[in-house]
Amino acid sequence: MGLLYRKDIFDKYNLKVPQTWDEFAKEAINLHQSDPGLYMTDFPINDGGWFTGLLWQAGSRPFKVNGSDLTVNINDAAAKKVAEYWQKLIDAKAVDTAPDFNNEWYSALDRGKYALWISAAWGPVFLSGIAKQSSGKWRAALLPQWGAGENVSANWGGSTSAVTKQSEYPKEATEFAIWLNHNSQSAKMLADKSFLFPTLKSLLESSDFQNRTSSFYGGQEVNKIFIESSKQVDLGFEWSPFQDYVYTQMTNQLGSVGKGSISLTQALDNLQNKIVSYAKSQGFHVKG
Amino acid sequence: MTSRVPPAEDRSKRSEGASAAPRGRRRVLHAGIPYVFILPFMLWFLVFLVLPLVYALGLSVFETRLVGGNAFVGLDNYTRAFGDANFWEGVRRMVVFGIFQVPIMLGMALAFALVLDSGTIWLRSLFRLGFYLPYAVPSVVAALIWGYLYGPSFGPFTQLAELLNFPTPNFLSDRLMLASIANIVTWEFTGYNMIIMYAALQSLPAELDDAGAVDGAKGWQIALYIKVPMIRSAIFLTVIFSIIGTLQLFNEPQVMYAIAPQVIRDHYTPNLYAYTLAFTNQQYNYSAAISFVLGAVVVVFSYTFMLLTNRGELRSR
Repeated sequence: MGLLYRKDIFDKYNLKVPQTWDEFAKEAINLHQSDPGLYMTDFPINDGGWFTGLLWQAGSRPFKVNGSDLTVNINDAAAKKVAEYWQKLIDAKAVDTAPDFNNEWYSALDRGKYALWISAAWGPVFLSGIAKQSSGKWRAALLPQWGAGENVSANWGGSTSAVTKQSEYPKEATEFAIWLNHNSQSAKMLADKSFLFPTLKSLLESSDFQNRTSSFYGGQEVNKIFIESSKQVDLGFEWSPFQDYVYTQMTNQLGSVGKGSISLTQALDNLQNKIVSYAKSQGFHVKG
Repeated sequence: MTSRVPPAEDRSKRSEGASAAPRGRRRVLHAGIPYVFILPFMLWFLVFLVLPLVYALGLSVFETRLVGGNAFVGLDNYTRAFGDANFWEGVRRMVVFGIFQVPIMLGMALAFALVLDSGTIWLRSLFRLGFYLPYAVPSVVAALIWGYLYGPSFGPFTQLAELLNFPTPNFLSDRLMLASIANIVTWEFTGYNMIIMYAALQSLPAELDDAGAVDGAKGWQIALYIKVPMIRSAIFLTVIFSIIGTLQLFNEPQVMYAIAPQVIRDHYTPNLYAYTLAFTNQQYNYSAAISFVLGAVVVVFSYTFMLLTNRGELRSR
């Protein structure tokens, strides 16, 4: 994950790229007070993947899977720290609570309602496609940190090549999936034509990929930011065996947070209960 | 005094006609031809309606877990469905929706049909087409269009309100979402219901207007007191369709989910709930049970309506 911010708005309101979440909060509150029509960013109350990435960065480890043994800790201490932080910003109206990835939200980004978008490695190319009018005004930066001087990042979702149980030739399919992502030509096509951030190190480290610039980002070498970010991702994070269900429940709970009927902390507790009972009903042995 | 016995030739002709029905094998073939004509539809009906229903019924008495596979659970899913607050919240919401939206929509459809039928409008076919056109728009497209129109920051209604210095209503908020969806559904289906009523009106004998005029009835009195009761069965048809359609509402909430997921969530309508259970929660068996309970609710409402209206008819005789 990383930040995509509007340099023109930052310049106009004398904002610095926040290095810590504390700085981010201060700037967000000040910005909205200076201009009530403007928000530092949007907290998308429908986007479980986005929120999970932030939990990941804070050190939360919601799931541990071991066959049919499942540990669920979506409301652990790190998660609660993130929840309290964003609740403060929501209460101060320093961030918007609109759902993302719809026309309204694209317009908001393009027209400068939000000063930045907390995004991921696939974000830069995506943004350039939906915010054409603000081309040239965007820049990329690393995520703010919880502790000054730290270097921790996280992933927002991801893509996989999966072989299903119904496959007639599972061995060959697996070999193909491995080849698809390892072969340098294939990896280059996945990166250039499918806008998938490369997993092949030789491609990541190639000067062609690193030095790529675009006018949308004012000539900045955006890939370098996300290459740096990808090195900072802690690989100890695990997904649940039913992430679709988790995301839908997150939308339900975060939606209530957006309406102000519950707090983010309460939402995490509700999520914990719902996920545990769902996992049990699906036959998992649940701890936590 | 003329004899009532038909002349001899006629009688023999009649007996010939009676024996014109083919005998033996030819009779069986003759009797079987109608079935051949309806066979294509029966096959389609069996494969795409009956078989899936039977399969779903089978699904609903099992439970497949991510860990542990398939198991027979009898009526457990149904017991759970009857106690499921999410499901009944959706049903209650649809009943409230129906109580307001259906009479408004059918009232407008009836009014439009009567006006068109009265022949006082020129360019009749233009209006007929215009009223019907929204129905021709696929409901997903309609919901997308309206979703854009309703946009709280950049939608046209909001921009117009801002221009005129009016407060901007949030059509996608909790309070207004049901009304916003009702608006879309009314826009889509008024024309459809109007056409049904208009066709029924057109099939009424033209002498009605003259007879009414002779008796001194004005145009609207003829319409209200003579024509409307005569197309009663067409109106009942549209009411039954509306009851069934309302309880099964899915397309519009599904599209609204993308722009207002915090309002719609996963159980705004019973059908949406069944869909989420199947395709997000992977609880196919429970989803099947929910679908059947919804079907039962639809049957209860439709049958109750038919009972009430039939009793009314008997009494008026």
